[in-house]
Amino acid sequence: MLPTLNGRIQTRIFLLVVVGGIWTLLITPVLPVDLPLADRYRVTFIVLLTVLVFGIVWEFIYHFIQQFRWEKDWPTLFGLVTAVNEGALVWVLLELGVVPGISSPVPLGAYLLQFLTTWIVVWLVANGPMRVPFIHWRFRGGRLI
Amino acid sequence: MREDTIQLPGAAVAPDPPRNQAPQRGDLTQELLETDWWSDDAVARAGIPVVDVPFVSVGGGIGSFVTVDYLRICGVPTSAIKVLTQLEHPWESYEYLTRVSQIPRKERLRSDSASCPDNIWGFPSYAVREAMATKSIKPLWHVLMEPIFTDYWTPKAGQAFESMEKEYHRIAYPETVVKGQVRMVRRRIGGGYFTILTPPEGAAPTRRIAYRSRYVHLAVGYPGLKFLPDLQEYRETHRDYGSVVNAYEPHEQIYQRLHAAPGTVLVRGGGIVASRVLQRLIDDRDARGLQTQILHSFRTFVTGSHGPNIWMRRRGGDGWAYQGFNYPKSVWGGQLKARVRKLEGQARADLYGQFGGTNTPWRRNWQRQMRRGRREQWYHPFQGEISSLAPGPKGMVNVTLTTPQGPRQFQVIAVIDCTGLEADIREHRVFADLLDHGGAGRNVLGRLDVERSFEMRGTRSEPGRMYASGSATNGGYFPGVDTFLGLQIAAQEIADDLTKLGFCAPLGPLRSTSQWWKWARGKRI
Amino acid sequence: MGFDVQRAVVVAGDGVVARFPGVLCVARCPDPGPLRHLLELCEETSGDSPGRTLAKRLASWLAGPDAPDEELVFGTVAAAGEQLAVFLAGPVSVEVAGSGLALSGTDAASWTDRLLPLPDSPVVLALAGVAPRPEVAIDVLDLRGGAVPGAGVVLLNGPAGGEQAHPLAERGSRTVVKRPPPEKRKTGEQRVEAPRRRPEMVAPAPPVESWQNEPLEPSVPEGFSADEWFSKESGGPSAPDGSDTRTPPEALPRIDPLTDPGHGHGNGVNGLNGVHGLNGVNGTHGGSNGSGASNASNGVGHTLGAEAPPLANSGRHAVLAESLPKINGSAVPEQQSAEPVEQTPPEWAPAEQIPEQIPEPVGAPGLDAETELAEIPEASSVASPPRAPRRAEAILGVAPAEPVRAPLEDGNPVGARGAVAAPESPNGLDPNGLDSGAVRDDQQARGHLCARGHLNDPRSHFCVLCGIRMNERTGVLVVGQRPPLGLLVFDDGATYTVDAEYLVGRMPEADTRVRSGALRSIVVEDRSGAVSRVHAEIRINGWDVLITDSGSRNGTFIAGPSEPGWTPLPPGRPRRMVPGTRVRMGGRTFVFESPSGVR
Repeated sequence: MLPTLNGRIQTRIFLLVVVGGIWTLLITPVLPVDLPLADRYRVTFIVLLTVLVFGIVWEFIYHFIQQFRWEKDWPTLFGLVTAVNEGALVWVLLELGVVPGISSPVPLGAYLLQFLTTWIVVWLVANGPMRVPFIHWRFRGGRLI
Repeated sequence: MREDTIQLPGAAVAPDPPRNQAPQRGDLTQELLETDWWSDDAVARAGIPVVDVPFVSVGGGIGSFVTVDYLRICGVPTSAIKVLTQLEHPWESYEYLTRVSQIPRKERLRSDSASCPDNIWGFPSYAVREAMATKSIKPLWHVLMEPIFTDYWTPKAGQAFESMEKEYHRIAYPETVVKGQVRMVRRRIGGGYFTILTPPEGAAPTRRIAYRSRYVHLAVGYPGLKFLPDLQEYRETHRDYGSVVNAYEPHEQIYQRLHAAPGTVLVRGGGIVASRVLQRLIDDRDARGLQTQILHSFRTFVTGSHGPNIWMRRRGGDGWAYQGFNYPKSVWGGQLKARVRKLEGQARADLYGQFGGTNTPWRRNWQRQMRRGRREQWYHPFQGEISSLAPGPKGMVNVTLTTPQGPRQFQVIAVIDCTGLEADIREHRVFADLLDHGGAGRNVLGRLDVERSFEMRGTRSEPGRMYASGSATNGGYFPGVDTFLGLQIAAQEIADDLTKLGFCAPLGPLRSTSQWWKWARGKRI
Repeated sequence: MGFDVQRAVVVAGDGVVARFPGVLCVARCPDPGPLRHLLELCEETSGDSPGRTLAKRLASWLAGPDAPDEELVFGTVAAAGEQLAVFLAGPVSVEVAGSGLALSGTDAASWTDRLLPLPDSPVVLALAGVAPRPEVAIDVLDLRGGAVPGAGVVLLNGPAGGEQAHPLAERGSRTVVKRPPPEKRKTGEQRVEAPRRRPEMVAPAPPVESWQNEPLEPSVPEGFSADEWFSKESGGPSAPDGSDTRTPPEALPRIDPLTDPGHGHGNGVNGLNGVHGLNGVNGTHGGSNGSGASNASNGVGHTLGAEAPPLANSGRHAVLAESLPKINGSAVPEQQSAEPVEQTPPEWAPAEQIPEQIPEPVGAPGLDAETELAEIPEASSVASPPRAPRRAEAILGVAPAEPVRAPLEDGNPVGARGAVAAPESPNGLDPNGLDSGAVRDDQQARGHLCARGHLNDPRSHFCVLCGIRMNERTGVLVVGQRPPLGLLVFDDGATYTVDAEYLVGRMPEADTRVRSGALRSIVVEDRSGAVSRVHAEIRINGWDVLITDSGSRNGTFIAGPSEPGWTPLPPGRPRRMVPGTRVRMGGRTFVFESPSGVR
């Protein structure tokens, strides 16, 4: 990927909202958590939102790291590897209970399932078909508008 | 008296010239040559037949192909496009150069996996397609791990050509091709342009044909390589075309000579061509057990990371500067592209200078070979510049180099020059004419000045536009022009501009997706 | 030189008459294919002194594998330096009027190939049985270039447009005079040629001017009868062997229109015997003219002179006279009486002198003298650059050809193919070789120039010297020094540059061709003795390198660049080598490589 800061943020928002949202809609019913459906959806979407919000902060950090690279590119692998830190952070926040809107503790397995699958799906779309409908996207550093 | 006519070779006889016409009907007249803006009747007076077509692309190489591909996907019919070229296929010139510089079809280019000249979306990328074709996960793994744990993955030359050929047929590109040599492009009074084509001998009744079009696109490639003066001089003086060669011309005889007898070869230059030549020499050496000695002279010997500041440091070592591709990757859509797009004048030139310079990719196999060569002492890189070349006994060449340690002399069987320079745009007749009569200008790096939309600045003939893409536009708002992806990016800018002018349909998400789906099915459009 | 300046009058017939710079050709063949080939050959070799080259090419064509069948009969006459090269195949003949020299293709089993000294008198090249007939407006006729129907051509010595008696008319033969030849030239050829010839035809300005100041009139006055005229011209139909059109009675000396004092035709012709150097082109000899002319006039007596009332000529000679500035009025009338005329140095007389000089005794009405003495439109004079005037223009009183324009940047190739490469023919002889018109004698070849002026193979993409892309040039084929075409790299590392032709073998010096220096030698040693003494030849044809097995004992084997196995080379048949071709002889191999990249 060859993102600019602006592009990173736009892409993150778009992908998490659209692709992440759709995926969360699909996967929530099958998560191993014993909550009524409505609550499940509430939790998963709040998790998604949290990832999104903190992700934007992370993007700034990634951008900074990227500056050390001569090519100014963000290798594809990094997109996967950053799942670790982002997931860890959100998990920590969840455990600490500071995420608004989530009262009961979230089971790790369910969280991992949601987080990792969403991440991978988003990653696949970003490195795959995203460039088909949005032909300018990859030449504008990830900017959609 | 014989009644039948005798068919003589050569062009058919031109019709009788009317009085006071050009010396030859159907050819350029002095009046046409001298005026910058042509009127329809001036062209008619010269007897040059006029063909009307909205869009003309000059060049016929990969630049034209990619642009026509884009326009076809945007819905422009083949009847509205004409490509004026001398090439048989768009990739002909490129394939010739890669072949002689030791990248035959089965070797890998220096191009990103997502730079697909046959596919404007870059999806699926070459790596994915190779993985699907070979039913192996290796390319996918490679692309995943690049560039940290593996070298950058690059496609094989053959894959690029074969995929281009499929797309070539899919978009009915051959229907747009007109063979001939373009002599000049001039602006038309009333809007649009005249492109003068010289068809092949005997193909047309007149010497020239004029294509009247609203839009013209120039993608003629670079005028050629300029062999360095000492190489030219050596050839002219000693009529020895076989010992001192440029890597971009066929020079197989040197490898053949090394097969036959041990010898020393001097390689000059530090770019990808030098890397490929070294690989060839070393591969031959290994495969046949030869005793080749390789001397490698660098004009600038890079010993480590180098760069102006901590944010711009490029790797280097053992004389080489390492960079994955011809340019830093972010020129093709990332930070550098955005940065250069905003700069003007000297600031832009300076930035080009910073990430320019000869460089080569870091490839593990090459590094291994060179390390072994240094250790076993048959590969000697050093800093030096050739100061004189003279023929020696038994077909050898006496080379004198100036090095930091003083002048050195060697007797080698061949000198392979991997530093050919590209010629100036003025060496190309069409560009020279545009600079003189077309209103075109030069940019900060001395090449053709184009806007961000790749319209040639100064050549507008409302409602027409003249565009240029490819290496002739290097130094403009977009770096990386002479690459596959660079040509596609230029094509996109041009198509966007044409969409604004109403020539082609906009490629929004829906249309783009449906066109992609047609591509995936191989459906002809 | 003089060849292109000379006037060529076509004799009607059922063949083809063609003229190219330095070459005149007459041919007949029911099948246009061989005709075309012949004309291409003539055209490619045309230029300055093509005689020897043309002869060699024709010979090798006739002796080669694709020789035409007996149906093609042809003859060529070409300039070869100071001589005339004649090549005849079949029932075609060449005669030099007046010298008794006659050659016929039927005298030889294969072909006739001779060098004649540059004759002073007209040369007739014609198919057998063709009798040139005198025609009315004979002086207007001139084929400058191109191919036209015809069965013969008369090459009249002296500058084009020069006043000369028709040589055959001398003998009282009949020449069919055509309308001014429709010069079917290739597009642009004439234009390109004209400038080129111009320098050759440069005369000191004054002679040209006055020549064009001649009072000439296009129409034939009434009462004129060609026969009469010609009989007088020739000294009567009873001119010796007038019935035999093939053999000029004796050598017809070259007529110098500008110095011919106006003898009777034959006289006039002969009269200029001694004044070779004096022709319209280099009429610079001063006093010598006079004496020469006197000699010439003396010579007159020896030649046809018998009945040589100068009648028809007189006017002409008067015209000639007028171009001799110092000829006083008296000299001219004397001419009329067919007496020796003193030629005065050729400063040309002003036009006005002429009318005075037409004496009554000239008699023959409607002499073209009179016609010629009509006022000459001024327009036809000097505005044009110094070149010998064309007879047609002067007589017809039309303006000369348009003033020369600077040739357009990319002129048409002089009748040659453009940049499109010709396909390779099956026996390995590339037609392109013909197009390139390579001359084996030296290293000249026809190719394209790159933007920097280096000669290259027309098929190559990049210049081999400087690397610039070749597509920039249009298809103008130019002749120049050919760069080396490649290298032969042997399996022992020995490398030979292919810029000359080689003989390869164990002992190539044994061959006369190597000893004479025509071929260079490559000594190939093979322990197994499988390499013959003379094993193979490496030849150059145009831009192609060909290998021919010279009938070696164990044969020569060849493999293309990507072919895995060896194929034997049939002896005697040249095969083109592309870069990467490998050749095996005995136990030794070599490979041909080339920087041009042309496959």
